[in-house]
Amino acid sequence: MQACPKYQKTNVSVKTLSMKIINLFILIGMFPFISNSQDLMNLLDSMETNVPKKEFISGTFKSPRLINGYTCENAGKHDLVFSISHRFNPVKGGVYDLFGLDESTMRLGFEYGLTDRFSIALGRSNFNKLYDGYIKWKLISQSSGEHSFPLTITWMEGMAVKTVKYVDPSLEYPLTARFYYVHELFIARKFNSRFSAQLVPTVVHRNMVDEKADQNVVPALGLGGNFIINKWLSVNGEYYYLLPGHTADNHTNSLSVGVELDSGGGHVFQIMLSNSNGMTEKAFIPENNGNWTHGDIQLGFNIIRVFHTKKKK
Amino acid sequence: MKNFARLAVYFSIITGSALLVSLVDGCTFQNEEDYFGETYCDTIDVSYEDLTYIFTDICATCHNSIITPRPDIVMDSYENVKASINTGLVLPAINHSGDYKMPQGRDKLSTCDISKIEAWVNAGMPEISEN
Repeated sequence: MQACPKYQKTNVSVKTLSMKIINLFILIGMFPFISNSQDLMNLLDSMETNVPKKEFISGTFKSPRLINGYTCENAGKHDLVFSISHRFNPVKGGVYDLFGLDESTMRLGFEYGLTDRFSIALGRSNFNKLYDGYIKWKLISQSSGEHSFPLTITWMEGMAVKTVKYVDPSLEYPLTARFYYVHELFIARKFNSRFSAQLVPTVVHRNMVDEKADQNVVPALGLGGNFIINKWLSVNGEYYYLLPGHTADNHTNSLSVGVELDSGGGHVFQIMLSNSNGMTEKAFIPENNGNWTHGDIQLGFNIIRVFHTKKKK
Repeated sequence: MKNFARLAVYFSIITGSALLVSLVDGCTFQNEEDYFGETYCDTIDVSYEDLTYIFTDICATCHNSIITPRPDIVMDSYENVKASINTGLVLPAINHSGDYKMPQGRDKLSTCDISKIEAWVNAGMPEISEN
């Protein structure tokens, strides 16, 4: 009988040993799961604390001007954007006119940013001795992360005053006949680091037109794009489609292509070919007669320089 | 809240100034044909003297006997204008249908001004009025 407890004791010790080994195996087997669940917990914790923050996408376009028209960009806070633009005669003038370079129209422009989203501008063209001004307000910026928004939307209200003397001095025009207005909404998207595009619903208002059949209000739809080739070179395109009406029947849509050279330090140089030589909406949208197929192609350039009037903090 | 207040300020500035502009000058919907009525465009019995406000005051500022970008186009006297028009370059240029669009640096001449010149050319470019 003495052997029995002995046997029993032995049995128990064998049993506990085997249990321990099994438990060890279970533990080893469970280890990946335990560690995985730890990772999962960490992940959950990090998701709670590190939600991707809202980030605004900047630099949809390099400058406030695309070719003839503007872009959704405006001057930054306390920045002064100075632009000098020239448009030449048609290149079909040949060597005698140095491909149109003999004659030019020019515009000087200044745009100042009151805030990062709101800017005011003033310009003067020698065509029609035209003064123009506009206010630009970036309503929404494209953003990523939390509460992201896919588009940048900028609203522009412009006005132009023609100060050239009237052809017939015997006719007494009202003062309002000199005023033109433009309303534009820039709906833009930066698709990736190289390509941006914008859609520009536009309305040009002319207080006095020539004939009864002419439209005082001319609606148009602009389309613009920018493709960055490398750090300093990009290609621009711009098209303004006149919505059907008397103006669309008698005038042509403005189509321009250009290259943009970014020499750094807030200096952008744009060279373009266009069928219109206007530099204000009033000129290149409802009054354009040039036709690419007839060879009415003009060279032009914009030089754009940004001056920081106050040091950025 | 601060952003909202800022937005409200901008919105009121813009709408306020737009309202002010529309009150001061106003958007009008006029055209020269209606505004000047029947007196607007008289193309009967047009003489050179009737058109000097175009030829001398506009064309001849660039195209004159002293300097002109086109040797054939001189617009500062009756004889010169007549010779220039006979080259066949002037009418397409003012109609914006040729290679050059004139007058340079300003809007195309009004339909009335072009009609007057065409009527004068068709009448044989008289120097003085018959009546």
